[in-house]
Amino acid sequence: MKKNWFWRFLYKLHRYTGLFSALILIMLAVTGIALNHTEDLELDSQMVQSPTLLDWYNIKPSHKLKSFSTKDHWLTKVDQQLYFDHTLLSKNIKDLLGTVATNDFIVVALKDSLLLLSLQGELIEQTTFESIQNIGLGFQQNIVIKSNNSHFISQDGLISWDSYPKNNLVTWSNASAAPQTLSQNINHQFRSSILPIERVILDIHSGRFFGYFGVIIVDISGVFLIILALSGCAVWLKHKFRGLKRHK
Amino acid sequence: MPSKIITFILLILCSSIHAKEYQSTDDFLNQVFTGSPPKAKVLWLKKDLQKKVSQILKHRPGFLRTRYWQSSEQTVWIINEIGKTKPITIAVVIKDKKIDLLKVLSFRESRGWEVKHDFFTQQFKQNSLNSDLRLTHPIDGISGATLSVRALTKVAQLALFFNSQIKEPPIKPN
Repeated sequence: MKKNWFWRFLYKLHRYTGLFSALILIMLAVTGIALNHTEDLELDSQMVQSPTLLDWYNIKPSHKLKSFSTKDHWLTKVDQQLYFDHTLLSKNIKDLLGTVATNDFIVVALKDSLLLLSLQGELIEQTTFESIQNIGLGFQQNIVIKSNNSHFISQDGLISWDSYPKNNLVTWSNASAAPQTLSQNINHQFRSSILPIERVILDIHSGRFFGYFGVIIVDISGVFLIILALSGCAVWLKHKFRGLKRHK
Repeated sequence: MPSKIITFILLILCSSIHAKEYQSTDDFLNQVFTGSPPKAKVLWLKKDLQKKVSQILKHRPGFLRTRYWQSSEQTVWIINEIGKTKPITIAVVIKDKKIDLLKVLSFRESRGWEVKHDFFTQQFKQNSLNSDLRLTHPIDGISGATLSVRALTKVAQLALFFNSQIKEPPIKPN
């Protein structure tokens, strides 16, 4: 009688833990398969666009925009991203220090490099230049760089640099506020480029997406999975031995 | 919610751990040209060149001109190529249409930094380009650094291709 009670309990335990953990196990399996194929499914390069999800992650539009205007174009930095008007130019810049335009091209000064752009905003070349402080136009509209408190001028399209006297006139680039429509658009693009889909799937998989409560639920379902496996094995063994006894 | 923000911060920190400049461009040029590097020259990527470059890189080139340093004996190309998300700065020295040295100057990715080691880059030595714009000797990969290996291989191909597009250096008088 005692033995029957135990097996009945084990059957019920197996059945109900299975029922309780079924949904979570399906969720774990689906997200696990997706994470196993992150690169094939491009989950790490596709970004979440949904405002609701971005709000859930507390990702708000950045208000720290730094803009410079030149030749009817705007260069804007937000976080590590650089925009040429409305178009994303680079995702990985340190600091935007200024921009100037000549008749042939636009030059953008970053902290430790210069971007040479066509007048249409195509990147021609990125070159390194240490400790840039500012950029401006000097003699005959040639590019002048202030670096380590010295001035340098390039007269051959950024290929070589010569020392430039400090007292010579330079029109330095100055930051200014971008038009509101441009700022809003850049803010929207920036917000939609932060959160990879992989991050969300990873958080759903671990339960972190639902906060501490979600992690506990996933932990409990892990324990349930162990119970399921053990009770399943026990029930299978019981049937196996009963079958053997009947044979004898 | 704070845990998510902390996770993000940790991810950003982890990704910057391996971001490193191993050697500056100026240092490298001084080393290769024993203290007196020649003036840089530029190669413009006109439309026909852009097509070939796209074929090698398997994506559109992110630049319209590239600079190089040429002496009578060798040519140096310094090219950036993205491994997974961030550019790797690679220098290639070419002598007699073959790679004499390939060196990673800066690595900014969070994974795959093993490609900076000599045991890997030595495979490129004496490699040249065949008519299909591929390297004549295959490059053995490193598990876990597939994308970085790919980036280095593409840059090696690109440097050899660029080298074939420029004028031969003047022969040094004896």
